[in-house]
Amino acid sequence: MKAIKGLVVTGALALAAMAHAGSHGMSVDALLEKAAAANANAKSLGYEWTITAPAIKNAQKALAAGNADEAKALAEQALFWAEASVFQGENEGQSWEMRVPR
Amino acid sequence: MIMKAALAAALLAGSLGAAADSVVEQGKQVAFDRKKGNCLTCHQMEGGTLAGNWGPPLMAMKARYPNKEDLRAQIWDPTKRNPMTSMPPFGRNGILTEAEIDLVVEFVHSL
Amino acid sequence: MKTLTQLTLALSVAVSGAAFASPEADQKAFQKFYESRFSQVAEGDFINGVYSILPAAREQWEAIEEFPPYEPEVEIGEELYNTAFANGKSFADCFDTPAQRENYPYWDADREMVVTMERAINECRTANGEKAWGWKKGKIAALSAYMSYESRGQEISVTIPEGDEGALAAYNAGKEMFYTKRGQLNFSCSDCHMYGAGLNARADTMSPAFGHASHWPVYRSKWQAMGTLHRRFGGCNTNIRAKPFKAQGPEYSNLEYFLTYMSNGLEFNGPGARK
Repeated sequence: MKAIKGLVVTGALALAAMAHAGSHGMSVDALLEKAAAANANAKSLGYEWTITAPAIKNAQKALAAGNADEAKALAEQALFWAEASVFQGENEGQSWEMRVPR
Repeated sequence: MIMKAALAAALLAGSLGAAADSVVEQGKQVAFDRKKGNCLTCHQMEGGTLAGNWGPPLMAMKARYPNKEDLRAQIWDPTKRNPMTSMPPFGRNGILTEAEIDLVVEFVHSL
Repeated sequence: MKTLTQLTLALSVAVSGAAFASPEADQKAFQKFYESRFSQVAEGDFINGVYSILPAAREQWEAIEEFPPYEPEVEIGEELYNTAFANGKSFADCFDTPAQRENYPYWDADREMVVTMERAINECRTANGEKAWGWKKGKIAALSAYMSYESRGQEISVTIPEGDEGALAAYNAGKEMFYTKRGQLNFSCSDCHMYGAGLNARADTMSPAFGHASHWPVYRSKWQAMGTLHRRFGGCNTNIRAKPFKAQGPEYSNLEYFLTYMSNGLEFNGPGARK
């Protein structure tokens, strides 16, 4: 239990750090590729969110329309959500049993 | 009468620091927005109507969270402190942006 | 006797741990959770969902039940049941009686899958050369409503065949689905319908999950139509911003298996009417 808790905290911190630092210097294309891969991972875990794929699509649209800043912001958001959903899936797979009444 | 009082309060606040007040007001807007914080779904608080009772009423927050950072951490991911909680992790799951959370913290801390 | 049962239960849980608790122990603990949280609810009354715990809203709901909004659907369902397929056969060639509710969901050991009543309905169609209906609303909900109506009063008695690892795995998958937090809003079924049951989100009181599976399909005012249980599962998941699974796919079928098993001992009382 303690180990799981520790894992949760570390994971969350890692995620927070990633959101701040991870996407700097990445092109929108690279961000989107990473986001799509993470979203596919979330899906395979059974933890895909409704908002991630639309955000990826909107980022692509913005990019195609030449709105680079908007595209980058959307792509970063999509990546954050995709990675948060993967974290949720991995975390829940471990911790759900505490909710079962006994 | 009420309007007069509000006006007086606003003037007073304005003279003391308009910037600080507007941060609280902006935080309130994020907190009350159904597509953002949507805090009233679960928490009663001053200025809000039709609130739920899932979570505790938000009051005396400075006493409950002397350290503002603790309140921020609670909003960012309440499951860290209580893994059984139903409250969404507004920061961890990117429901609100970091800037929006800062605003909500200012508002909630003012309650 | 009761003490002995509880002692045995406590021991079995202590020995096996919650994750590997037997379905029987899970069921007892699940039902006990609601019975002690809502001790005012009369035995068997959880089949009335949120109205079992909200006496004020119940009156209004019972007034609606006087002229139930699902009645026309039940009539449509009856007609569908009795209408011959192109090959001259009908549902009566698949089912010995329309009162089938108590037989579903069940674990099909040969096909290694949970079979719901809606699945059985569509399989009867395809076996007779007809196209399968959509899973969530329309004709399947109407026929399911008729069959549920004819089955009112039957006891919920889902079985997990002893020694069948596949059935146990399906049950455990449904159990995991019930207790895992999902979607951006990070809610599990249990967050709202177990630990949140009886609490209000805005003005809406969260319904207890004990009895959830008893009254489907439901005429929902919000839908202005009937919908199946899997339609509701999908709606719940969408609300918490979790991508819903396919109706009648393994995820929701296993969830239905778990959820219905948790309500064993209650009566089927579908179709229902809800907000």
